Amino acid sequence: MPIEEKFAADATVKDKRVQEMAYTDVRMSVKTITETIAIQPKTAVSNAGEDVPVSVESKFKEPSLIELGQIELDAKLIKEDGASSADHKGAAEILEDVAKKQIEIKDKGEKKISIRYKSSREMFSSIKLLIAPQPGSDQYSKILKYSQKKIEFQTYLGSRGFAGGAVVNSQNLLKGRSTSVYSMTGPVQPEVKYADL
Amino acid sequence: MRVNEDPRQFNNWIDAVVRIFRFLNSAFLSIDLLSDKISTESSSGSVPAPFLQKTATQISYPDGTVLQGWKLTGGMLLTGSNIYSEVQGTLTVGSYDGDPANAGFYIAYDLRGSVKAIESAAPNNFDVINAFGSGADMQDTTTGALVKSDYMGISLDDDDVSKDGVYIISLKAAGGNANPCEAEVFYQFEFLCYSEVTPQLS
Repeated sequence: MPIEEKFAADATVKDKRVQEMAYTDVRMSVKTITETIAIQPKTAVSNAGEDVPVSVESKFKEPSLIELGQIELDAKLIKEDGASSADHKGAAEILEDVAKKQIEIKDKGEKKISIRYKSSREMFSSIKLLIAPQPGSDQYSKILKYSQKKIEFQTYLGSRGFAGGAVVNSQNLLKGRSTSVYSMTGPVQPEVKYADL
Repeated sequence: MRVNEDPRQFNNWIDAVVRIFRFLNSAFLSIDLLSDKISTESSSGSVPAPFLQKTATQISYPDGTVLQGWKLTGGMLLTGSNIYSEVQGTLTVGSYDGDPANAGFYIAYDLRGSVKAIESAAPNNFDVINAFGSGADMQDTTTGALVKSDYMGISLDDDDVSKDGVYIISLKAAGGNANPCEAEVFYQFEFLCYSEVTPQLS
């Protein structure tokens, strides 16, 4: 089996340029955060068979199929805009790929169509788009805190003298898939705290 | 003898039926507690989001204190970096007496799970599954070879001074070299807290 490293659209880690485009770019009419499925539990606790759902107030909002379609379209326009920089084109293609995949999964989920994979690797976490929370909301506080913790802990682990030392991100994060036409330039830029965007 | 001919016999039958129902109820409850039955609202296109459930583990003291087991289960593909810190949610362990100052008590009871990685440096080609923990193999995605992780574990961070008993849980891994590494991780963290408390994930 050849090395099949995940490309950006399916990776756990993301590049700052993708994070920034999804969260702040004025050309994206639906602003999103780019997180993994772990950010949003569905059940607060299962107590001897009785499931308590997570409170509606603390839930992140998932984009609708229409919103995901808009994200895909906006990203496609940025990618095809001759005035866009290479970084913007690469980031837009990644976002387009993520939105496309999420549309497929969401559409099948709503229609109760089962999704089967050849490999468990395909089923595991990938970047998920969630509607960017409004400042002042519980969800907003959560993403600020989570992203701050993520970077603090990564720095902490990198400083513990492990063989790997500093954080090194895969160059495959620069494009959405192996056959991508566009890719971001230069080395991977590690994601940052949402507070810094 | 027909049951309606002897009221005592009839009562015995009723008692027996009640006992059977109680036994079955207890058996089903035990199965619920012993099984990992995770239901998810999300599509089958992804692994379930982290999930917290009650377990059958209990420590009982003669003075009536009971420590009850709870288990957090999560799964994630770690890929794209050599060092990971991925938040798995916020765990709230309330107070046993309503006083927020007494919130947050838990005993780490068990940590287990599996780590699946691919060895694909020629001529090898196989999957390897290790127990979750430091040293579990990950795939060096530059060479395809397995590399022993320098660190793998979860952490609970309660540095939010404004909220007692609230922990941010993170899955952490350091891959063992300077190349990005990859593995599929499923972890189960079981902890005990006072039986008066029902912890929650958010």
